[in-house]
Amino acid sequence: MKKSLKTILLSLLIVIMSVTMAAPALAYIPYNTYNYNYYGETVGSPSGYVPEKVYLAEDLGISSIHSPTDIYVSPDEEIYFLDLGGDNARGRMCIFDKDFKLIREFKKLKDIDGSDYYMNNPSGVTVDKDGYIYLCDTDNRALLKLTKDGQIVMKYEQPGDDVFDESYTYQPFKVVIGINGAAYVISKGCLDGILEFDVEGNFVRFFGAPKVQLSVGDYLLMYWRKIFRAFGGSDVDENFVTFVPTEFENVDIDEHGFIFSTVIASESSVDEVSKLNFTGSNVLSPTTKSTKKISDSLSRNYGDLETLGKDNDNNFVDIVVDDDGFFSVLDSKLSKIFEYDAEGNLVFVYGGAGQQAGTMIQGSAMAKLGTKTLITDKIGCSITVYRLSDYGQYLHDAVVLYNKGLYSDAEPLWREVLRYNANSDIAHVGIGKVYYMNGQYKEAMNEFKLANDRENYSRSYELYRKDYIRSNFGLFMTVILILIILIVLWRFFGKKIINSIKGKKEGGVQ
Amino acid sequence: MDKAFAFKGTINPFKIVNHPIDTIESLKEKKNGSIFSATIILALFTISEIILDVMKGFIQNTSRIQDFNVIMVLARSLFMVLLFVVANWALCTLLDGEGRMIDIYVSICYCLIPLVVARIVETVASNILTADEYVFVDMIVLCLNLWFVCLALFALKTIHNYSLGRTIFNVIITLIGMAIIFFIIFLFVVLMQQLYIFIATIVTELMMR
Repeated sequence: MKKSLKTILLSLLIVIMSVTMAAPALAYIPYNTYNYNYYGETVGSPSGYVPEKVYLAEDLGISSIHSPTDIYVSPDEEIYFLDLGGDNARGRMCIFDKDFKLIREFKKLKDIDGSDYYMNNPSGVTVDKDGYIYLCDTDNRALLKLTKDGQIVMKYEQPGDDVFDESYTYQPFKVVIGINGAAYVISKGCLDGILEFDVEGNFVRFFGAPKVQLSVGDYLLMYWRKIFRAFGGSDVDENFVTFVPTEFENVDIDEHGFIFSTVIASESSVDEVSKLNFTGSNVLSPTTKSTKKISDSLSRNYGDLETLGKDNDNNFVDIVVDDDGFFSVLDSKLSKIFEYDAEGNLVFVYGGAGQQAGTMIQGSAMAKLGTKTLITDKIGCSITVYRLSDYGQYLHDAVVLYNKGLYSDAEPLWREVLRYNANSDIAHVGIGKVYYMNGQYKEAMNEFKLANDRENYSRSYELYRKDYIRSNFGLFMTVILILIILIVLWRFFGKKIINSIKGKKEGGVQ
Repeated sequence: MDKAFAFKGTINPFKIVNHPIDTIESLKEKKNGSIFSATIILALFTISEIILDVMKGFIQNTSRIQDFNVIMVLARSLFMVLLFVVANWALCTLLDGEGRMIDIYVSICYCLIPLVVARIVETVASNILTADEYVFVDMIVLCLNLWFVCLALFALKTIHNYSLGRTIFNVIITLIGMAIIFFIIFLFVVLMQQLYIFIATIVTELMMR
């Protein structure tokens, strides 16, 4: 009898628990969130971004989505969405407002002469500050400038003969508009860099060609090839690898006109994530600031570090920089998003491969709507929206204040962050800076030590040492004076003392 | 009894700091070095290496205490010195060197004194100085290391009665010899492992039947 009562109670407990536990299952996050410590090791962290909603075609009020290629949020918070638009269609552009209500759907555009214009695999869209839409119509080989009604105003066609090889076909792929109205275009398979067009649509220059890094073996191979050719060897030997720069994969531009770009990763690529100034040189440190460079032979430090050196290259298909200076890259191999602050510290990692809400089969494009992130899934044919969690919001706000130099305003936020995640290095640095400014150098040193920030530690140690010597000045001076007196005494009387000891010893023996 | 085997030497090893040439020559001529003091210096060198690894100040020290491995430290200090002595002796015996192994050991160990000083200076300074000030310590350490190289070269030159060029050539050959010895040791260890596995398998087999 007793036993059966126990069983009943136990099963009742299980039922109650399963019912109550079922409710938070909606907030279940189907991916691991983590950060990297100074040594490049994975350290678990609370999730900064949580999936909010997944939009399928029926939620958006359009016919079935087919291979989404780009998503873009304009400055007035309208969402531009590109896909092929059905099985036989070759391209479609939809505009939604910020609540994902359909504003317009373009299956065809109006050409300059008024006739219908059909897109052919459009893959990049952006909007300038006057509201003109720039659309990369990849397979029609043109960059289109449209009004909001879909009327083509201008076409940026292939630049003149002397720009490209004859064999090369111009295929604009992604575009951003600079602050002066110049268009920066990535063309598929173009190894010379980003194409810059002026406001009238004339080609100006190539811009920021990705660098190639050759190993010693590669150089030897190159010289061997030269010798081989000098003796009449053919150049088409398949053992000869060609060393070409990598192509750009995606670009974005921030409010100051810096162009953020990613390249298609290869063995010889460096600067997989770069921030180009107007001369086309990278101003972003090749290693993230918070992690020690793991190995000199591995140049990359952005993206996933766990697979470093395991023959698994990043595939950063999209990069987005938001108004607060955070930039995020989307790795389509892992379908993960890595978000960095303006200094290049990894802040959040979220997303993942899968078919649950919050994961993608293959992420293809990304956009930022305020602090929300929109990701399109190329195979899953959906748009996933992530929002900042409480932890993420604190961290985000703290970093924004910190980067503005408002260290003490950020302090309560850093404390909140540490309440969620005691391993957060940037939070420790943030609090350390506050202590440093308040003259609490000992506490500052402790925080910087926790964050492995040697530069700031050294700075606060210098002042701590100064204070320490100053407050113990009497002791230090006494010690130094005694030492000087001892040395002087030894100089004058040392030999005498030694001689007298020796003399005693010798005398004793005798 | 040969003086080099004497428990207590008659020469002060620290004399090598201010009178290197005299000391090394007297080591060779009068054989007044001692294995005991040489071993103490080698031990000091090993200990100073360990201390440097464990107690280096936070600003200069990027490795963590949990990553510290004393065997690696021994391998790069104690083991290397002994390996060098053995390899140098083995090669110089064949190449008209006059020194015996004990001479090489004693004089090389005496030459380690600047390195011991360098490690101690590094350990102390890294705990006191800031990142900017540490540049000077790096310079001092570099000088001490170079001094060790000079002392060691001169010691080998004197002991084997070589010219300087010959000494440098011999040192390079010795380094190659060290690599070969290391390779053989590695091979031996792997072989022993295989043998151990083989015997262990047989024993398990017999026990199971």
